[in-house]
Amino acid sequence: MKNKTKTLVLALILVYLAGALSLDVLATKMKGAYSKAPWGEGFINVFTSEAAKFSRKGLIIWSGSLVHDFYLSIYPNMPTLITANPPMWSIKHFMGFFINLIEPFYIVAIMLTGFYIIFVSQSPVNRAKAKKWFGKLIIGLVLISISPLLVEVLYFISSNLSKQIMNLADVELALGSFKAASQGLWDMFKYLTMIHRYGGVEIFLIDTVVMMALYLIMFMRYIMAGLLAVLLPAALFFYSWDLTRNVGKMMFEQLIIWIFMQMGWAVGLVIVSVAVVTLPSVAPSMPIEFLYITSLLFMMAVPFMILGVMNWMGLSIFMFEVVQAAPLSSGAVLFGETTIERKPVVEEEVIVKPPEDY
Amino acid sequence: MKKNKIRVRKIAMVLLIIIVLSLNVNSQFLTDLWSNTKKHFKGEGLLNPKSFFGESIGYFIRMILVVKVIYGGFIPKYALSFPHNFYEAIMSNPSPYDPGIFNLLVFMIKILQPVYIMLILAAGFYVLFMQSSLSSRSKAKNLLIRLLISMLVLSLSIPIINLLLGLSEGVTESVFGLISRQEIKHTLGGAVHNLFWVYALTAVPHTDIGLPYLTLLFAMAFLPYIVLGLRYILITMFMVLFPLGVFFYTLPWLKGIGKKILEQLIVWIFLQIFIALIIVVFVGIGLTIEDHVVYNAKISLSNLRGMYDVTGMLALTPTGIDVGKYFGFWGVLLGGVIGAGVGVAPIEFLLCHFYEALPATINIVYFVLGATIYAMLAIFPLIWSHHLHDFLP
Repeated sequence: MKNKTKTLVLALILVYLAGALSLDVLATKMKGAYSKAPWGEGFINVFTSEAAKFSRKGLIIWSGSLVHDFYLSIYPNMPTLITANPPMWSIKHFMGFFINLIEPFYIVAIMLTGFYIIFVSQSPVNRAKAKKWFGKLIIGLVLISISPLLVEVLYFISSNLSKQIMNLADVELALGSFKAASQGLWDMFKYLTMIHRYGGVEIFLIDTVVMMALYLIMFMRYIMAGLLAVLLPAALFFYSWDLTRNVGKMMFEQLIIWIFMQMGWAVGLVIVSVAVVTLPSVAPSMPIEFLYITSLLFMMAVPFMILGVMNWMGLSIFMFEVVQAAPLSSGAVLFGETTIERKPVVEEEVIVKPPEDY
Repeated sequence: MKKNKIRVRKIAMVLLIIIVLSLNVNSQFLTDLWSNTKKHFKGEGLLNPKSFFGESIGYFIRMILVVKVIYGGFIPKYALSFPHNFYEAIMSNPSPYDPGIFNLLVFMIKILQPVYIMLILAAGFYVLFMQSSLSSRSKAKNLLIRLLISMLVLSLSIPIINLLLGLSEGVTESVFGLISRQEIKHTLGGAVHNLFWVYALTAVPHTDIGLPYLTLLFAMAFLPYIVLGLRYILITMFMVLFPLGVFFYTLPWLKGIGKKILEQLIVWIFLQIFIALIIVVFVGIGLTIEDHVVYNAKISLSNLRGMYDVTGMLALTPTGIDVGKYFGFWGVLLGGVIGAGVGVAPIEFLLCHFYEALPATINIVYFVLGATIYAMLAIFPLIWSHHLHDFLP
């Protein structure tokens, strides 16, 4: 028993030692095998890390596409937004406020003038003047009372004229051109992002800012047309007094400009449609994408042209020249300095003498 | 018994040795496991965490910034300040009876008084003794009358300014009466919120894409106050310069400057009515543009929640996979699932209030209308002050 136990214990120790050693070897082997396994290093590792980067880029493109598609809706909406004017029912309430505010002034003025004509005035010149004023006041009062109708007529004329202008050519061509411009920018953003995830951000910015600006300016025209229409009674009131004539004139001019701006856009759409069709036949080798982007920028420039502040363009050209000329100008400064450093030439007095042996 | 005890002890000793030896093996295994897990915090590891795990941590930080700093701090404190306080901000006017302004005005008037006396004396002297021609005499007389009238206006300058301010304030108040203030607050607040949600969507993958929207959000918060603040400051300045303007306006050879000062005072005072009118008319007629929009594009913001959750998942899944790989294929799978779960859970827990406030969709009409009203608040005063000049005789 004693020997048996000893042998057994010895055997057990040996077995366990062997097992433990073999396990240790196995573990090391397994570790080595793992480190050499395809998902540990090499091809798969590169693949997984690249896939991870690409998923990040995909996320950028995806969230960008949500915003891009959001703004891209400007193009299908453009024809109706161009011809849109605020409905009269929404304006009348506010116009009524100004009409109610101004009418009492007119009534008081008419009463005072009548009182003056009947009782006060002595000289026929003054009476004639007062009568003239009387007529002016009555006309002003009538115009103010019918100003909602006046606005309606202006809206009607402008909206119908722009609709007629847009019927002159297939506007869809122009819209397609704008869409192609935005799509071109978007594609550029997409490919640049695929190459490097920060690569296309600026392109995305240009793409979305242009579309957002178009939306913004069209909405702004709609609201400005409403706002200045609401102010029409006040504009007429200001216009009828010599002292405030300039204010009234300015307000009335602005009303006309903002209402008829839609005609500018309508003309722009027609011109772009025509240009997109005709240019390839004139200049076949020119990349058409440039025309697309130019046409898009042209649509943004239209309101500024109408508002008569095209000077900004002159300013921007000037700024561009300054920036462009900066490297040259530093050279010019150097040149100038060297020329200034040079001493002025002292003119030698040349006396023409006759030869001695004359 | 004793022999048996000794035998048991011997067996126990043997087993202990076995355990110690096997522990050595296990310890090797555990050490490897730990060192591998640790790698993630050092920027090394299986799935190239330098660009992945690190990015995910970046996501976490960005989300916390968006939610805590922008949504929890900036928006309620600054961006929603104008929608809440628009009425008080627009209605506020500097008072000429404010001690600071009053003293300055009195100071200006006091400076001008001796000048007036000198000028009147000179003009009187000229009329009485130095009359060379009839026309110059009438000119001098004219100037004398103008000086006397302007002296009257000068002494009444404080009540005149107060009258102008009161008139402007009264009309502004009645303009605001045309529409409920709650509606205006709702529109302005909605504009801020819509812009924020687009920012939150674009900032998740890359902050640079969201940056323009964040800039716009800052502009929305500060631009109206800047315009109104500019108005307040300019009114204060022209108010103080009013006596000088009246004086310059009287003298034929300085009339241009005086006219400019007085016109600018009037323009900036009455701008108040037109700012109120922009907001009121905008809220009144802005939404009617919806009828002219054929295709009202929408962004579904339920995507946003998905994006945040995926981000959380991606942050901890690599670690789970890396730890799980020691248990074979099923270990990798289980580790990945556990990692993803651990990543999503805190996000869902931390952002639950944020998700509750999340609108399901944003449409283009509301979004652009919101941007338009703020743009008009900034642009209209410029148009107004640019076009309005030369209205005084």
